[in-house]
Amino acid sequence: MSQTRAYLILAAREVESYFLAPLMFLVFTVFLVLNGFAFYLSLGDAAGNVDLAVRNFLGGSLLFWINILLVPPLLTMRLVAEEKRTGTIEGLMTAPVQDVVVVLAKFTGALCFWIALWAPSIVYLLILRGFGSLPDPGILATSYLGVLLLGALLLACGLLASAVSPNQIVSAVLAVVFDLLLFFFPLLSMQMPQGALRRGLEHVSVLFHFQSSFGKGVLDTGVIAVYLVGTALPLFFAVRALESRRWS
Amino acid sequence: MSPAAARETFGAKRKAAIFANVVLMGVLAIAAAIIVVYLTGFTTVKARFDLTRQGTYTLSAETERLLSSMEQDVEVITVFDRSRNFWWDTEQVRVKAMDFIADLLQEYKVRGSGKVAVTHLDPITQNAAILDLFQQLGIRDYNVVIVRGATGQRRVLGLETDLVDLDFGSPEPFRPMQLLAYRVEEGLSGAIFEVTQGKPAKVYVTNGHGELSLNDARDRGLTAVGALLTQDNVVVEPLALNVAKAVPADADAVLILGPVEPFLPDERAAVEAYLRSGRARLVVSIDPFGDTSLDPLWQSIGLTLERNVVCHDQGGTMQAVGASEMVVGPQAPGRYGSHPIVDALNESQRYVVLSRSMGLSASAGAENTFTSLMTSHADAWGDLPAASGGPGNYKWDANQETKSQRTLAAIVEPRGPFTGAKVVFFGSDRWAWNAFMTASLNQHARGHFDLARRCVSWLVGRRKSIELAPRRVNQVFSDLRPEEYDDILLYIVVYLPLAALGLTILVGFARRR
Repeated sequence: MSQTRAYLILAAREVESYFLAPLMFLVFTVFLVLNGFAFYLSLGDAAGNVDLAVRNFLGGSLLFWINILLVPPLLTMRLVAEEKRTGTIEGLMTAPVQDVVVVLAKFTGALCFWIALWAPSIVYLLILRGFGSLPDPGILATSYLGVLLLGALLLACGLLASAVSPNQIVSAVLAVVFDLLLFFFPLLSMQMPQGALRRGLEHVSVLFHFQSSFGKGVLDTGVIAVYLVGTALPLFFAVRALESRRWS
Repeated sequence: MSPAAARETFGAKRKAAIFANVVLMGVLAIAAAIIVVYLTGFTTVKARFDLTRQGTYTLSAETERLLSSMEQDVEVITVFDRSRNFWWDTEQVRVKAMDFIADLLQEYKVRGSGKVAVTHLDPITQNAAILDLFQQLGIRDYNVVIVRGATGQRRVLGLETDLVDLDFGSPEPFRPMQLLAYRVEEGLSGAIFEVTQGKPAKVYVTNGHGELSLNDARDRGLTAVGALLTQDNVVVEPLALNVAKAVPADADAVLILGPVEPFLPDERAAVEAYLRSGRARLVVSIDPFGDTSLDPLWQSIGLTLERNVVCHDQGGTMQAVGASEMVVGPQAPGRYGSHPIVDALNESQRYVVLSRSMGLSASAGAENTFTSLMTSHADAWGDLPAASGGPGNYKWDANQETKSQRTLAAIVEPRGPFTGAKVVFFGSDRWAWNAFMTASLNQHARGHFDLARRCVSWLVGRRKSIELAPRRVNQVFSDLRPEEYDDILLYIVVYLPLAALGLTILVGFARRR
């Protein structure tokens, strides 16, 4: 079996498992309620300015960041940790599938569910259009791209947390800690004097980029690179973590 | 070596090799990540695309060039008070303007290659720092953007005076505030240019003749103008002509504002020598009842001071305005002329009140260029007898007063022995008083602010480093009724999650079968 085919089968299995897990029904519903409420509040806060409402909804409200902080760890906590707990990981490890394929398949599954979580919010915009006002398509496109890239980054961190944790609870807590570090560590730059370190920290600030780029309708290759590299690095270490089972 | 020991040694070596491999790969991965982030973030590989419908965040080519050629660091500090608002600002246009400025500043920061630092000070949580800064720079009110260069040069930009054009509307009769246009990029880029590549102008203010004083904070003082010019990257110093005997060589301009006592012969000679030097740049504001000792000098450059008080019967249309107060503005009966000093006032619909002003006119047969900056109503009259030392009765006397449009402020560029001199003349000193400059946030104060700055800027030859058309930002607004908001809430918080939940369960059951 080729690795590509193995990847497709494993990714399909992961996607299916998300949509069949009762916990995910709950996550999905709660997420939609919170998101809907966030959109409603954003529209009210923006005093009818639909572009501003979109910016508030996608990156400018507390509810958005609560969702962003808590949902990815919930999605990824079981990915590897649960397989370790139930022992099914042994089967996976002994199958003729490379570790990188396993990690990528699990990541793909989580990312597909993340996209599915956000897809219904397109309906909000259709509703707005029904009432006669459509936000700036540029801001919409970059905001959703931002949500996708940010989701990928946090899911990758969650996957790494799951790969190094013995169970789901530890995995979820560790993922939240990773996310908090990712959000708040670069903010130390605000206390630093001008210089290379400050510039470097500012450049990897996920919070800053969301407001300065995606949320405004501006696409920056440097920002995209930060997100992509930030996604690839935890995935790389997740592969190493899986491999480590073979060394012992 | 026994087979068990050999196995153990082999195992230990294998583990060490794997460990070394993992560490090495990890370090290489992190190094590769840093290189990619560096290349895409800090080099020319970086690209930024503004996808907004109106190109809202696209900086002009001039600004891009300025930012890329900057050699000094620049600090931009905003002090915006979003909580203080006018009740008739129903669309919160000032808050929107503040948000836009903050957004555009991010662009400056991102494109400034690390040379532009942006700090937003919050009036509630960082009040001590703000007060400290305000004291240093002589700033009186919130809603300013401070641009500071590494060499200590600075510009202070006011929200309403420099960065946005607002129609202030009115509470009575109700007319909501409106945002006319943004001048944010022009203001910010101009300020950055000045503090990094310009040099501060030096302006002297004469004293010793009862002039408005730079140290007098009372109504008839000049502290507001002094602070304003200082914030505009101008060094302002007093000039005692009786001591200095001549205008200093480093003077970019001299202000003679409101003298009431006569100039001594030496002082008159110093002013005349300055006028003859070919580099004279003067702002002169003299009250109708003020000093007359320099009148012959003004006459010799072709300017006649009429020594009357220009009055107008307001006809009840301007209730708070007396007969001797001329409100000059684009929509007022008084008018601006056509000159860089007043063009922007005209465009941004700002007003100036010239209170108790005398008329000015070009002397008959004079060789000069006489440019009228501000004129009265067409049917105003020059009330007499102002020259006798007391105010007139401010009533039209058909026997000795004729009604016609009067010049209240003018620029005289004489020829002959005075060639090269430029004099901006006002027939009243009151426009520069603290009382008229600090009427916080009202239309007139902003006009007077602008007038003072533009007079000096024009005289010292400070050109705008960047000329940009005002940016009009059209945002899309929904016109939802309250019941439609409720419908939206129902759709997206109840129906949609329920539908999604039902669909997911159905799919789940179908898959299980």
